[in-house]
Amino acid sequence: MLRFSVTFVITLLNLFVLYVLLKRILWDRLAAFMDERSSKVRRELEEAGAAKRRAEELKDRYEALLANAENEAEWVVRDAEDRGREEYRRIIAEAEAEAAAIRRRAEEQAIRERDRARDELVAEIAALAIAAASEVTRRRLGGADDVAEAEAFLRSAETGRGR
Amino acid sequence: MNVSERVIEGISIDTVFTIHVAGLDIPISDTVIASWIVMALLVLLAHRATRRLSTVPGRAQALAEALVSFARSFVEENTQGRGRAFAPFLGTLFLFIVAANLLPSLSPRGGFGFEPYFTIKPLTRDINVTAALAVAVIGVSIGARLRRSGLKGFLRSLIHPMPFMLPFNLMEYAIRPASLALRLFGNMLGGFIIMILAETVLPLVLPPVLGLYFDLFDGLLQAVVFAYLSTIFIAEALE
Repeated sequence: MLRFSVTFVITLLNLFVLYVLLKRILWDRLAAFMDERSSKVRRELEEAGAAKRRAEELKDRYEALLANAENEAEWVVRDAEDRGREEYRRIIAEAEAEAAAIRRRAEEQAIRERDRARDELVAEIAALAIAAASEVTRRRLGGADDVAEAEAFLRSAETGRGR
Repeated sequence: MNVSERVIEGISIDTVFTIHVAGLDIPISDTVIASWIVMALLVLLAHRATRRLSTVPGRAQALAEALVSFARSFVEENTQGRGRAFAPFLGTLFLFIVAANLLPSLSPRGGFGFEPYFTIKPLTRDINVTAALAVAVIGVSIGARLRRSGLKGFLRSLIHPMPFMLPFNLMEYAIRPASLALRLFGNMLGGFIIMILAETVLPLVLPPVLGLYFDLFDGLLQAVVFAYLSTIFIAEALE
């Protein structure tokens, strides 16, 4: 039972052969496969992490752009409103200026019309006065005093016409 | 056949055939045949588990991967990361002892006058087998120390911490394999004898119950103890 035999040597050889075979078939093959898979998983996780970071950066950038766009839109609307108000004020001012000009022109026209009417009236009155004076003169004039009185009357009539 | 005859027949190592090589007669014992069967089984199972490696493993591949990763992490932990290269050797040793200890539980049993055509007896009831395993472990641990410290470092370790420790350190290289071999041999032989007695005393009742411990649990436990101590010896050599 406790006798050493050649089985000792054969078992050593068997163990060596089994070690070589299992190292080749099982340990090395599986260890290489597992290491490769681990590194692949690690690499893919790193890539996924990088992609996630990139997506978050893009999201932040888009959100910033969107916020800027909203601000810009608000600015455009405000600018348009300001410009609209300015245009409104300008149109109103122009209209008021034009109305004032029209009113002034109308007043000037009215003054001119009034003056013309007055001049015509004065001329007519003067003509009537002259006609009347001529008639009176023709009927009553006989001496020098009458002539002087007639001339004075005519001058006063002239003066009144000039006014 | 009485009890003592059954025990003697059970623990005896039979020569199955003899090989004549270069004028030498090499007797091939039943334990050598059984170890070849164990080797063939392990190689076939390993081949089956790894022939088509898939990123999502099947059952066999998953089991093999669990074994490989456990062996690697176990050896790395116990050698502070220095002994990763020894994981295949220690794993192979563990698988061989587990298979050698559990294979007999598949053996047909006798009793009630029935004698099975063949029986598979534990390999490790043969001191030559356990001694060979232990010597392989000590050889590898010496190799590990030589690789790590060189011949000078190895010789210096023999007189560490004091020169008068030389005989004790030398004895350690004999005592360690002896303790490894005898622990495995004694435990498995003892369990085997108890199982023979159980079959003789109360067949069909005692063997299934006792077999759970002596055939399955003890076989696995002794393999774990052997592999663990081997790892410790190699770790010490790598310090």
